Amino acid sequence: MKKIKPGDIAVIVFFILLAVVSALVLWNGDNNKKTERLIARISINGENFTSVDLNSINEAYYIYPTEGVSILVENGRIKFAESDCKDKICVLKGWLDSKGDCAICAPNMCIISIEGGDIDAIAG
Amino acid sequence: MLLQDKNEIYKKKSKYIATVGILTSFALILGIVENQLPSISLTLPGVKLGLANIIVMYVLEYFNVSTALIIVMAKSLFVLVTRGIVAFSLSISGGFFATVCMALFYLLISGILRGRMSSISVSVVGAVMHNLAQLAVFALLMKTDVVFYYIPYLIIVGVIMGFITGAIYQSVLYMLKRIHIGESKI
Amino acid sequence: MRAKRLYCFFLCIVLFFCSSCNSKSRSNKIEKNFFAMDTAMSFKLYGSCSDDDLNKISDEIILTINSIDKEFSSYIENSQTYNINHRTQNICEISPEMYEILAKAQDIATLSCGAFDYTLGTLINLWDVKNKTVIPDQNLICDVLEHTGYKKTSVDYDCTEEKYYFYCSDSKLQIDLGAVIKGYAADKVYQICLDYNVYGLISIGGNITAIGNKENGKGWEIGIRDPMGTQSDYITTITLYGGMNTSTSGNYERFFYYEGVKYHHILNRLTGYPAKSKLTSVTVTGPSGVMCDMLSTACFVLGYEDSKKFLENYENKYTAVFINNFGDVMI
Repeated sequence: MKKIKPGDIAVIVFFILLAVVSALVLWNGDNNKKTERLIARISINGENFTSVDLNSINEAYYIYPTEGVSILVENGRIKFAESDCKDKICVLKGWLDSKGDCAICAPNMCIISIEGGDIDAIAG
Repeated sequence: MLLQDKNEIYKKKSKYIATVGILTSFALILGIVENQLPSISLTLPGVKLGLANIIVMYVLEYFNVSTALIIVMAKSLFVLVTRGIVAFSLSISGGFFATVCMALFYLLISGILRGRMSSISVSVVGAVMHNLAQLAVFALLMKTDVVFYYIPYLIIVGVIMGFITGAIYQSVLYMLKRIHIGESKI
Repeated sequence: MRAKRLYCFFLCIVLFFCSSCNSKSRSNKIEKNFFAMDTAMSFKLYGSCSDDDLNKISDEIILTINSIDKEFSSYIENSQTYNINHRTQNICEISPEMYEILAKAQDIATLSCGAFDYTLGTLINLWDVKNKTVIPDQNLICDVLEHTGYKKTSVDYDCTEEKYYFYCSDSKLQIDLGAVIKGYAADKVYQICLDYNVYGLISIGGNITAIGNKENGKGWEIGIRDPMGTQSDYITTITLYGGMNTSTSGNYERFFYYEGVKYHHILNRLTGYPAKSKLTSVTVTGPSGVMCDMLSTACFVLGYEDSKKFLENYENKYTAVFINNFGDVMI
């Protein structure tokens, strides 16, 4: 290395500390903001049908991904409203409003899932 | 005698302009060269190596603040013409803020802490301040405050880039000195 | 002067390498949800290759799973399983892959004393839990049970002819690989991902395979589904590291109610009825997908106490989490 002087090290250390402090201050406060983004993914037959940002909904509306299935989208939550399947497990599931939530209508091959969450997958 | 003085100044002025012109073009070239290195843009767009800072540092050390600001302005105008208004505002805000901070820092060095710091610190200060100023302007333009989340990253990146730029500055200083013909402190 | 020149030279080399590094060394991601083997499947894969390549890998994975389904499903004409079930002699020649599967299945059937038994085809067809809502007649069950049993079957390899064979002394015995092929598919997909150098998580029905660890080096957090809850409620979690598989067998996946009683799809060969082991689910974790799949079925039928003894055969390579009728989690 060329001419590095003790003062240089001091400056560098100062800035590193500054970065650490700003990280502690900014990142903890920001956690709430980060987790608010709720994105729901709807897929049919394995293909992505559409994604919805649940936080940006002003008025509730319906999505009809395939015949016999209707999905209701409201601010912050989404659910299977109606389905022509036999068991209606998907409809009975009710509202999906947290990260990692998902509802599956197997006969119609339709899946609603909310991105994120601490769990990577559910077994069973 | 008066005539001779006038000639001297005139000569000095033209030398001055020529030198500044050459330095400005170097700053532009360095800016173009570093755009060819794509590996840097891992975080926010606009985080770059800042090789042009080498020129600014040289000018601050051997010329004066106003000359440095002129070169920064020239570089930003170039950016305005080639990349548009947004890039211009980022470039000029980062450039001005960094230059002023570096100038103040130079005062510190040559005054109180003489001999304890080298151009590496100056370079680090410049890089960090440049990034922070750009972030502030970006937040203003895009009307978002999500970007403040990146401040810690930018500071660290600034330290690293500043260090690299400072080291490069020290290596190429002898080349830069050859450009500047005689003393031109005005 | 020389030192300076050398320094500049090295600096140039460093900058050169920096310029040849692609900004694409960041991980790209692909996520897919699809249906195969009559169940919902999904995967999340990450890799340093392009998005195009990831799409190709993803297609290959789905193709592989579908072809395994075609090869080993009992219901698809001319699948290997179908051919065995429609055999005309007591000896069938089988493929090396089928041998691999049946050998392991035979092994686990023996060690678990039939708690896992791949020869229950006739019983499964009789119950048909997916479509029917009435329990079969007791006499029919007894009749059909006579044509089940792993003790009537074996597999062998003929070294001289280099062929694989399946033997069965009962011409009416039917094999069913439903409790096996998902784990088998998981292992095959795992290999594909390794070959292509992608990492991530694959969920094949109740089988989950971890390929490599998460980006931060930690294992994947897997929630074990709460039998009493919905599809995304979990009652506890396990951490799955790269190369590990987990498989869950539960009585809440396929079932019907008849006269107020719940009948599920995991049948007990000894009784001919769905296993009543006081468990609602068993999750087995270990290095092989096909093993986890079979072991989770075996453990569900065996019940908690007998499963603990049974798993001792595997010397801690395979561990299980049990959830009983009261919702208690036991290890």
